[in-house]
Order: sequence, then structure tokens, then C-alpha cells
Amino acid sequence: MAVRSTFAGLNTMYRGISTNRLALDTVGHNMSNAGAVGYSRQSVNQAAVMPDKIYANGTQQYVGSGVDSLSITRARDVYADKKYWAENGTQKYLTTRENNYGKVEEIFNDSKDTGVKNAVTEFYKALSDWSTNNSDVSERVAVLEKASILAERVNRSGEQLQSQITSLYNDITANVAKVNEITDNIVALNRSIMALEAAGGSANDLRDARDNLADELSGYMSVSISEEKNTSMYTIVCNGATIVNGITKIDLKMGPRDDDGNVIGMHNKDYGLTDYNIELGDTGVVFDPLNGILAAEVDAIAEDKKYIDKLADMASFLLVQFNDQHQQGVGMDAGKTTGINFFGDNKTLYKWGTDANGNYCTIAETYSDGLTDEKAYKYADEKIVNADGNREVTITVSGVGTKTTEELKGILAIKALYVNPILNEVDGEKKLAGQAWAVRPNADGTWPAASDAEPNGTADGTNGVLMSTLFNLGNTSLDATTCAIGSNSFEAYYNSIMTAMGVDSAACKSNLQAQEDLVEEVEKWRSATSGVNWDEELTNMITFQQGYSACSRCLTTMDEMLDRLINSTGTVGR
Amino acid sequence: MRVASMMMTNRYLKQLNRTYEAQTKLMEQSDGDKLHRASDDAIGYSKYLRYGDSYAENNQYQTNVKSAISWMKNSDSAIQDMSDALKTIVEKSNVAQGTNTTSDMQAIAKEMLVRVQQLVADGNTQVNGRYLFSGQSDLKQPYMMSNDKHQRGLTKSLDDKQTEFFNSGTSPSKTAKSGNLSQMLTLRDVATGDEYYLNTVDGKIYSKEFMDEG
Repeated sequence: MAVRSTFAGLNTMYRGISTNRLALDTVGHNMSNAGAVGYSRQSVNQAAVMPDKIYANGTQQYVGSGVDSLSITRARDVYADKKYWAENGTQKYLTTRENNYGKVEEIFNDSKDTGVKNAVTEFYKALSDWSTNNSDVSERVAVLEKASILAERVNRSGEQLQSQITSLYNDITANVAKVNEITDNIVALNRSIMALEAAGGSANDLRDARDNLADELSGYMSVSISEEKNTSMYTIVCNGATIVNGITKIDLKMGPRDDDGNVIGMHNKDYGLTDYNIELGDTGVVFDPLNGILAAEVDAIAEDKKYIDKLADMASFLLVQFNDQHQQGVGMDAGKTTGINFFGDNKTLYKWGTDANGNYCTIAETYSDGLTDEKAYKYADEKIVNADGNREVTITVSGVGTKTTEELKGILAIKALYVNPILNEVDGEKKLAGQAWAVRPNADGTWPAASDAEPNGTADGTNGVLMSTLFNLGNTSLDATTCAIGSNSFEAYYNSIMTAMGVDSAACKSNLQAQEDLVEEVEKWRSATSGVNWDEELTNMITFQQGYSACSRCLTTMDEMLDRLINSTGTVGR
Repeated sequence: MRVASMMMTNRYLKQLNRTYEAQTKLMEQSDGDKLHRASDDAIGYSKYLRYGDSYAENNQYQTNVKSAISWMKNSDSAIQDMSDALKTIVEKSNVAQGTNTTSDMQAIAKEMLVRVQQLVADGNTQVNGRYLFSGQSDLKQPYMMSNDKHQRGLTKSLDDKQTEFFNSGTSPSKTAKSGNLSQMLTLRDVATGDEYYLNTVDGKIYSKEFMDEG
């Protein structure tokens, strides 16, 4: 007959006491970490141990032997985690885009009088005033001054956009380094967790640390994280590329690089800056993070380049259409200067044409010997005369000498926008072409050749008026193939750019607010499972404390019984 | 649903931040501007830009009209002045046709000269450095007082026969008229002393014999 050991009961009580103490320690751990970010509450799973076998009453009986803690597990909702990682990426994406919009709106701030809009309005006023007082030298000087202010403000906006793009690239470089650091740490934790859990048990705090890192990583790019069953290691996949696979990982690198591995970037002459890519390790394959801060910064750079393009379109309109109109007029100087550019270089013809890929851009043709002009009748029909009874003449400007062609896109078109230096020389303002050419009929009613056209008197501001209408009146005979801004007037085009920017920015802001609300909901969901509730912990603590007291009481009772057995049994008459 | 303790405080902080954001937005408007950036109200911003354009256009229109009005007023007053001067000249020439002493004639001549000078000065009126009556070449002075003395010559009134000869049909062309009298200008050849008559309308010159005898 198997007899139970005398002290078997003590063992049972000991198990009870130590389990309760363990549970109390865990409660203490939870309470201490209640405010820690990403902490999941841990709980001890208690279960009765295997019972002892005894023979009693002629049959086999099983006697319980106390309690043991099976495991200490953390409460974590894996599905909520995955949802959080997805939504966090979007939230960080929208936050970064909103930041960029804020900077772009500052660059184009027209609410005070220091922006491009104000310069355009002042230039328009100066042109209108001059066209009604063509011979007034002070009006001419005002026109040249306002023009150079406009050119300077457009240039300045272009430069500010360039520096915004450069700082975004710097940010991307720093963020890529951060991402690499995070994946390094995840790999280290993967290793540790695998080692610790190989012997059984659950490395709860290390897992919490690993999940915190995963939270941070999800803000930088769109991640899909899964845990391998056998090794408990995280596999992180982004856009089809496995970034972390257990203990191996791929670094993200900036590219393009030269043979020594130094980052050199690609020079982009259209925007006057160096472009970089994010590449996957050393493969040289361009990596698209799809979501998160990195994707937002890449998208923001593309958007800022579009704004530079829009400024370039405005500059192109001034270089092509505005110059064309200026060339039609004649100045009030003795040399009857005609066919000169208002903006840009004096020896260059600016046209709107296609580049090698069929895209439209400004073409600048520079001639070594300058430009020459030719007169021709505007209407072949002799009977079409203007209000003075004279026939009108158009000026065609062509180049002389060897031609060098340059395609002006992006920042190049903006940099080509400056007032023609000829007009800023001494008495240069007299060359400002406000008057129109006209052919007067001979005394006998016949018409001389178009080349005999004479300029109208100095009070005539016809050409000046036509130049000013380019700003507020559209021209339906132009379209995207003939004019950078199509059939819009200059002011209307600028207004449409600003409105589009405002709408995009406001939409981004409202999307961000909605996304923040969504992330808050997911966080609430996560903490519903894994957050620490003080009341709950303290109530549990009462259970464990009283349990501990009860077990000790029981232990004391057993001790007293044994004491009676040992010290008082069998001593008769002593 | 189970609520964690930290969740409540985090939530509260987020809502508080939202309130602060709204408050900041309102206080931003304390400088009197509703729109500080395009995204504050995209449609409103687009209207603001358009209104700015229209405002500039309207102001320009008003300025142009004002300058046109000032041009008209100046022209008007100059011509008024010229008209008064001409009236005085006509008056004085009537007076000169009566009997006058030499000193009277001298006084009349002086006054007429002054009036003619006034006419020239009015004709050269400028507004903002531009000559009003110079047409499109507004930097060139239109009128100048000439210092040459010309023998204007006497007028010859044509008698009935000569009137009928000249004024019927198209060739020779009509002569200038003063009231009911047809007139031609008398020219004297300095060398020979002969007299010729000039039809001021077409510039043709006729000898004295032709005029007297046909």
C-alpha cells in the first residue's frame, strides 16, 4: 500500500503560497507598467498539478497536490495590431503630406502683399497706366520696375520650392537610416525571443518591445507582419519585398550610387537639383514604400516639382506670348526700335514647341548675330483699315547667325525670366514698344509696300493696351499646343493653380482628421485587450493576498498537527 | 467593453488638443483676416483672388476715365480761351476799319498781336507734359509764333462777269467767298511790278490781263 508522505501536505501548501506570491508579483509588474507605451498586461495561468496516487478503502484514489502556474501570458489582440499597423501608415502619410502643403502654402502666400499675385496686379496696373500715357517716361520706368519685381518674385518662389525639395530629400535619407536601425533591432529581438522561448515559456516583455518597434516601422512604410509558428520570429514584408526574415534582413539604401558605394544621385537639370531613390539593399532596384512617411515624402517631392512646372508655364507665357506682343510694337526712341523681347535675352527667340519625346516646353533659340524683323501686311485685303484709315502691319522676327537651341523646362524657364537688359540701359525705357506700326495710303489712294510702314505718334498706346489685355483677357484661339497656359488669361491661370492647391490642402487636412479618429478607435480596441485597468489589478490583488493568507493559515494548521504528532504522541506519563 | 485606465487619459488629452487647435484657428482670425492660406476656405480663396483682379480692373477703369475727363476739360477750357481771343480780334478788326489816328492803329495792332500770341499759347497747352492739340505726336509743339512778316496782299473782289466765269461749272474751280462776294488774292511780282491774282482754293494764278479782258 502506497502511503502518502507525512510532509506531502506541506508541499501542497508551499505550492499554493508560492503561486499566489508569483501572481502578486505579476500584479505588481502590471501596475508598475500601466503607463508604459505598448505594454500588454500579463496574467498568470494557474492550474492544478498532477494528483498523487494513494490506495484507500481498497481502491486507487487520486489526491490533489496543489496548484502550479502553467504560464505567464500577455493579453494581446493580434488582429487589432495588424489593423493598427495598416492605419498608422496612412496617418503618418497624411501628416507628412499636410506638412508639405503647409510649406507650399507659405511659399505662395498671397494674403499679404508680398506674393506673386500682388506683383502681377501691380504689373497690370503699370501696363494699363502706361498704355494711356505712352509718352510719359516715368510711366515707362514704372512698367520696367514692376516687371522686374514680378520676375524676381516668380524666381524666388521657384527657389523656395527647390529648397523644400532638397530638405525633403535630406529627410528621406535620415528616415531611411532610422528604418534600418529599427529593422536591426527587430532582428536582434527575433533572435533573443527565439532563444528564450526555445526552452518553453513566453518572453512577454521582449515581445512587447518587438511590437513597439513594429508600430514605429509601420509609420515609415506599409508593412505586413507575420509570426512564424515554429521559431516565433517576425517576418516583415513591404510591397512584396521581404525586409526582415527572422534573423536576416535587407537594408534600405539611398541611390543611385557609384562603384564605391557612395551616394551620388542623378542630376536633374530641369529642376536644378539632384534626385535620389530609395533602393532595396544593393540590388539597385527602386523601392516604393507604398505608405507611411517615406512614401509621403516621395509623393510630396513629385507634387512640388509640379508646382515648379506651373511656375514655369507662367514664365513661358511671359517669354513667348507677351514677348510676341511686345515685338509687334515700336518704341519712341529715334531708332524706332521694334521686334525686341521684353523679357529674356535680347538675342534669343522664345517659342512654345515639342521636345524629343513630344512633350511641349519652351524652346529658346539663341542667335549669334541677334534678331532681325520684317514687316508684312496683317490683312491682305486692302479695304480692311483701322480707325485711323491706315492698314495694319505685323512684325515677324527671325534670327541671324548660328543658332543654338535649348529646351527650357522647370526651373530653367523660371531662370530665363528677367527684364531684357537693353530696356534697362540709359534711355532704354524709350525702347518700350507701345506704339503700333501703320501704313498710310499714298496721296493717290494706292498703298505702298508694308516695309514703308511708319510708327504711330507717341501718344498711341495700342500695343501697350494689347500687352495689358494678355493679363486679364483669355484668348480662345490658343490651346495647349500653342501656349503654355492654353486659352486662359494670365491672372485666371494663376488663380486656378492657387485654388487647386487650396482644395488639395483642405482635402488632405480633412482626410487626416478622419484618419486620426480612426487610429484612435483602433488604439482603444487594442488597449481594451492589453491595457492595464487599475481597478481590475487591485481586485485581483485582494484575491492573491487573501489566498496567500489562507494558504499560510492552512500551513500553520498542518504545522500544529505535525507538532502534536511529533512532540506529543507516545510520551505517556512524561 | 473593457476600458484601460491609460486609455481614458490619452483620449482626454487628444480631445483637449483638438479644442486647442480650434481655438488657435479662431485666434488667428483676430487680425481681421478670414483667409490666411488657400486651404482655410478654398472656394472663398478663389473668389478672393478673382475679386482682387476685378478690383484692380475697376480701379484702372476709373483712373482711365478720370484722365480722359481731365483731358477733355483742359481741351475745353483751352478752346474756350481761343474762342474769346478770336472774338476780340474780330472786334478790333472792325474797329480798325473805321477812321483812326496812327497811334490808335498802333494800339489796335499791339492788342491784336497780344491776342494772336494768346492763341498760340493756348494751342500749345500741355497736360502732364503732353501737348493737347498735337494729335498723336504729343511731344512735338504744334504751334509757333512766326517772326516772318509777309505781304499778305490785297483781296480782289470779282465783278459779276468774273464771278460768273469762275463759279459756273467745275473748271476753272470756284473761288473763295466772303459773304456774296467772290474774292481772289492779289499778288505782285517784285521784279516786274506786274499784278497777278491767286485763286486760293485751287492755287491757280491768273494774269491781270486775263482777269480784265477774258
